[in-house]
Amino acid sequence: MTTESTGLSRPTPDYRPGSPDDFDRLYRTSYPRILGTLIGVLGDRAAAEDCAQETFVHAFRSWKSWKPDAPAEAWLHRIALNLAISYRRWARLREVGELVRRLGQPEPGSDPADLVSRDDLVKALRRLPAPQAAAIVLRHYHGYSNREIAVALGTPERTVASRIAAAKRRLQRELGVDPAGASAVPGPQLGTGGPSDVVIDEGHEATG
Amino acid sequence: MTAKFDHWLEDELGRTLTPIVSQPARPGLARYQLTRTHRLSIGRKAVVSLAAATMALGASAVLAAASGSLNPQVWGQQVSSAVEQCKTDLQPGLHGIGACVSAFARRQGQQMQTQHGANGANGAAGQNHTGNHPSPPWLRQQASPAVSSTP
Repeated sequence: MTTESTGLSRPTPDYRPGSPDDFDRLYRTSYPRILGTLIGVLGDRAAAEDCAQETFVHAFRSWKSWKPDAPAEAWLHRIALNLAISYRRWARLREVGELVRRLGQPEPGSDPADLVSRDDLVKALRRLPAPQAAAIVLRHYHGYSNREIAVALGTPERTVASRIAAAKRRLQRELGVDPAGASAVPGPQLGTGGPSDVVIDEGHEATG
Repeated sequence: MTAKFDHWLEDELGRTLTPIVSQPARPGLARYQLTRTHRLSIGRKAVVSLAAATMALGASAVLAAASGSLNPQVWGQQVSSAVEQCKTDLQPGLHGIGACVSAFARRQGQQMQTQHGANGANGAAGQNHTGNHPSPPWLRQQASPAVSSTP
């Protein structure tokens, strides 16, 4: 896990808005982190790569107008998260259509090589609302502080803290992790649960 | 939330994501490069097309003035006749009929200018390239707020 401070709060490297070479440099630096965040949010590597590439397409179009007063990576994360939300919305609609078309037919098997999609934690993250999943990945994978995440997502710091807390409660419940610290027991066993046992409805994305 | 859960979460995320995100990113293979090269190639294509169109317009204007007609067949025949005439009139020992054909075109052009006026043909390249790469389907579709629940 990358625990070192990233680029969100340090002074922004010398990127010149509109410079193609600097954008290439930004891509080399930031693409892995953007991809990591999107995998956490989307739970699907192919989708995350698609969204990550689109993130940089959108960013490149606006590169001339990017203001260096905000960290470039924060700006990229905001674009990425908006795209991820759009993707999830589209995927839900497509899923409904597929389900109707497949009525009575067996479900297609998942790609055995796709370890990401089969991972229990990734599956659980995918069921979280996109902003919560993003906050978890930014905090506990990239090592950003709540303030840095707030800058990246354009939300108040307090909102970030509450999102992370809510996300952790859900993850603990879904993964059957004892909040006291025992190892996770994935499967139908539930943890102690939190005060807000919200039923996660896959058809709707809760805000927060 | 306990620190142990946080550590477990960080370990699990690292185990899953680090092998994937540690692969180096190569800007040369990135999708945004298509937008970049598409813009460059559009620029070059537009320049070449415009130059070709301008030349064609210039040539067609000369030929149209020479023949008194914008019908390519008509002025083509007239120009062919003029060329043959110029060849016939070419004195022995002299080469090139360019001056003769140009003089013919000038004469016709002066006659036709008074009748037809200048043409306002648009010679610019008619392409409508936005330089945008096609958006993926999940960006083209606008999600409907009313999603029917699964049966």
